[in-house]
Amino acid sequence: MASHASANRSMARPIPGATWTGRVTDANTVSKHLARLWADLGAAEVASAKGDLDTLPMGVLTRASTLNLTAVARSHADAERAERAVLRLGDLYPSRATILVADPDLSADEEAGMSVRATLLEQEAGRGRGAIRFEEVVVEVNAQIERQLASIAAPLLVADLPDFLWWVADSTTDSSLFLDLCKVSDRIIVDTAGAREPAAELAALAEVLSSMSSPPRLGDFAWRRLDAWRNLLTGFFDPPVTRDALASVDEVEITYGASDSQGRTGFTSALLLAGWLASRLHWRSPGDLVRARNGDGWQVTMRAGIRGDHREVAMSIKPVEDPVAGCALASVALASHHDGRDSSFRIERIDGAEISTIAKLHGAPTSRRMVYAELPDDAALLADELRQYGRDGVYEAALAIAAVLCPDRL
Amino acid sequence: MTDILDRPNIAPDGTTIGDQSAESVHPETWVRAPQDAWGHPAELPNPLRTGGSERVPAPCAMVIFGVSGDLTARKLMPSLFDLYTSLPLPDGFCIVGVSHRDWSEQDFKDKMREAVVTHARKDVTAESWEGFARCLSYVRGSFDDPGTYARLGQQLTTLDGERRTLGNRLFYLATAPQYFSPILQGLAHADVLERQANYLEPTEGWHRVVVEKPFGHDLTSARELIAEMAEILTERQIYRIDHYLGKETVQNVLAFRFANILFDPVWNRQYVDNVQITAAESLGIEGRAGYYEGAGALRDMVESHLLQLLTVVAMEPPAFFNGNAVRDEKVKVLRTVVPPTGSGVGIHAVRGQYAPGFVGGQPVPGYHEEKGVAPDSTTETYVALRLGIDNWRWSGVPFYLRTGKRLPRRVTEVAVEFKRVPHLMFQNMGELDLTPNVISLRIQPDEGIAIRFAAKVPGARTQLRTVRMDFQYGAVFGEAGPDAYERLLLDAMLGDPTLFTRRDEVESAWGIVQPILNAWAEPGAAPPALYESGTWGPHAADVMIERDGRTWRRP
Repeated sequence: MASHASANRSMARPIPGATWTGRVTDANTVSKHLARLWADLGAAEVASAKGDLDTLPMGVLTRASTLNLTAVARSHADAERAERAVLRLGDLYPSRATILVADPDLSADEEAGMSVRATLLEQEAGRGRGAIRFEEVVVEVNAQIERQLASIAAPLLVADLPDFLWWVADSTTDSSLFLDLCKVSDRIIVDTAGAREPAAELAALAEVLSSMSSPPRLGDFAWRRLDAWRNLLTGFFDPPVTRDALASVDEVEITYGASDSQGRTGFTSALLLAGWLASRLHWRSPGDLVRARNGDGWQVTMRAGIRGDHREVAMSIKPVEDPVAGCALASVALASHHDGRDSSFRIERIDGAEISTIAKLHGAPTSRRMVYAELPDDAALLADELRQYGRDGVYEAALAIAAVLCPDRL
Repeated sequence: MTDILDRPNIAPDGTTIGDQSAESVHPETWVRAPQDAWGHPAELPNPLRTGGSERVPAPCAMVIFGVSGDLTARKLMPSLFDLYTSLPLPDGFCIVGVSHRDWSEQDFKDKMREAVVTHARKDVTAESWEGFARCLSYVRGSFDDPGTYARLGQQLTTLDGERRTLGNRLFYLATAPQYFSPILQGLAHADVLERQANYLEPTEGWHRVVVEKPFGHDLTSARELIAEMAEILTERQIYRIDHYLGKETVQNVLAFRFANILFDPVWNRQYVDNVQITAAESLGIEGRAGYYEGAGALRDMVESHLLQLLTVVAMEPPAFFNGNAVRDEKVKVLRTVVPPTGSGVGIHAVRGQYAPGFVGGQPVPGYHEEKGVAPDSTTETYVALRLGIDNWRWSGVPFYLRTGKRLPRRVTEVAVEFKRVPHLMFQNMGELDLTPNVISLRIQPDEGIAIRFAAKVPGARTQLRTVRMDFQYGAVFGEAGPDAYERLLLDAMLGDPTLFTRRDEVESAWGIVQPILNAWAEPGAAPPALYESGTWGPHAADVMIERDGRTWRRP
């Protein structure tokens, strides 16, 4: 499980004089403008070094790249969000970052072509490691020609590198562009926390995975926000003495942040955690979640056991109006009652930086722990996602069950 | 008669395996039941743990001896804090500091906070520190007092109950080597540390001991130290740290060699002309005369770090990246190294000592003027060696090693210099400015890999020039890798000894430098050659390599 990088990462800054803006009709010309920016920058710095090339910053004479990141935004707010994250990404994985903006505010009779801003960025790497340089390209088009974005993205990819797509927009399900871009990307990163229709979103992603002949490698910020939670839950059950308690869990309660300041919800994270537990522990769901009788959230009774062991697991998922939960979880509690031996395990977010854990194992002293775990921001989540490359089978199994659990009408 | 191996419920030793149903008998249980890191049968793993890439150790207590020392403050505690905030440490992990200082538990925590704030990679916030501080506890006592170990034992038993550390204990001896044996004996007598079998997972919690170099000061003392530790511990329990192996760039030499097909075909005597391994420091001894006078560059750098670099460059591909597979190959290389002996030492080994000079524009004193250095000291601050490796791959290829203090700049690198092309068709076609191909693996600073090759200068005539293609980690992976100690501490907790030094490696490495030590200790041996601080070493080192028709690189 990845660890979230510090959210206190410093920002990259544009290299003075190394920006080009203009309108183009052919995306291929953007690469030429970028090459010119690098050449001009290199010439200027070589001249100023007066022959002592050892004094040149890294990346002037040679550059190496690790990946292409293409971010797709469908509003100005999303575009700004993407750019903020990219600017704080530089000290992790420099790359060519292309932000494609399908702007609904641009009128259809706007001047032909697309608006492009290409910038060379520089990020201090710290500890005498010099600076890292990478490229950011922002392309804006009229939302009505959004479909063309896939053809714009392709020529902007540096050859021979892994291609990551970050779908910043709120929903994938209403866009054929998403599927088009899936075909030219190696790994797709979404954030289902922002989905307008979580049920449809999870179902659509599960469908993408199950229907495509070579499905994309999929990542989800809502899943990544669970890293610390899954890590801590797993840690409860490392000591072998706790295995019996895990094997007899019969109550699960997950609470999540109902909505954060950007309108995102922790509901899909809660569903994915439920899916993860169910897939790892072989719990089966007879159907989707139903409204709790008291109207407070959702519930379902799952069946546990591989070979006819029909133990029931009562699972409830509840929203809470708690700002510290953000668009992730507020708490997770597991309880087991087995032969009169009761055990319980609880994890709760205390504030933006800490999570508390408490384990009450039958016959053992209560164990409490405070864990430092920052609420990850976009840049930290994106950085963690870019560290992954292969398919995440654990996530895919959790998603498959989460899509089943999710009620059709929300 | 039916062979018992034909009967699926009978183990080769004739015992009956518990559940007799075919479904429940794992084929491997016939040999030996696989066990997890907690010593329990692998048939009962934590089902929430998935994938092989997770590196989360079992809950354990880490006991640091010498907790008031420099190593704890600069490396151990900051690394443990960085690990803690990155979450790979398990629930229940705790640290017990042991020292003779009259500190309260709060004093201890305050001192550790100071160290962490100064040296950790991650920012220290009130919340993150509070969480980490809860893992800390302190036991005061001297290393020769049996009461110290009794109190430590009580503290560990308490932690086993409170934090469920399961009896798993990692003892870190961050002390001078003379305390290793007293500490281990104290621990063993107090039943805090037990000897555990070499080839079986312990059932009641593992006990491991990490020790810092130097592992002895010559071959004899190294063997004595090995024997003393072996009386109390099995080799499997001993983790000898050479932090060079924890460096990302040293591990990347393995990745460069064994994860790419491109370089292996030329990585041998047929194409390689020579290999130069350089570890240069611009600093002097920095007030450490007490240690350095008794050590010198050969013991301090060559026996450990430089020979480790030599092994990763010269070893054969291991079948697996695991403890014995990698270390077996490293030992095989060390055993084939041909050191200079007898009169050969005067030809193929050069020792030097820095004289006053200028480094980075600043005047610096000579070694003899350093505080604490004997006026007639013959301790070497510079060593240059020519070694051979007598095996199929490297026979006839000289490996030149050099290390020194007060050299022009701090740089550690391995340069593989290739032979020239057998026939140069361009020789009558204009100006040639060619040097042989070189692959240089830079360990520090500016970690990276550079390849030197010939290219045509643009123009109507054929003019060739040597160019350099540079891959710099800092320019590609901006993220700073974990400190070497973070990696190694986690490995020790996980029970992964791959990057630690095995006893036969220690013995083999001392076996290479011992003839040189012997020759230099002979009465009448020439004293170290003086070199001006801020230069690349004594003239004798240049003479040594020029005798072979080669020159030192200027890294």
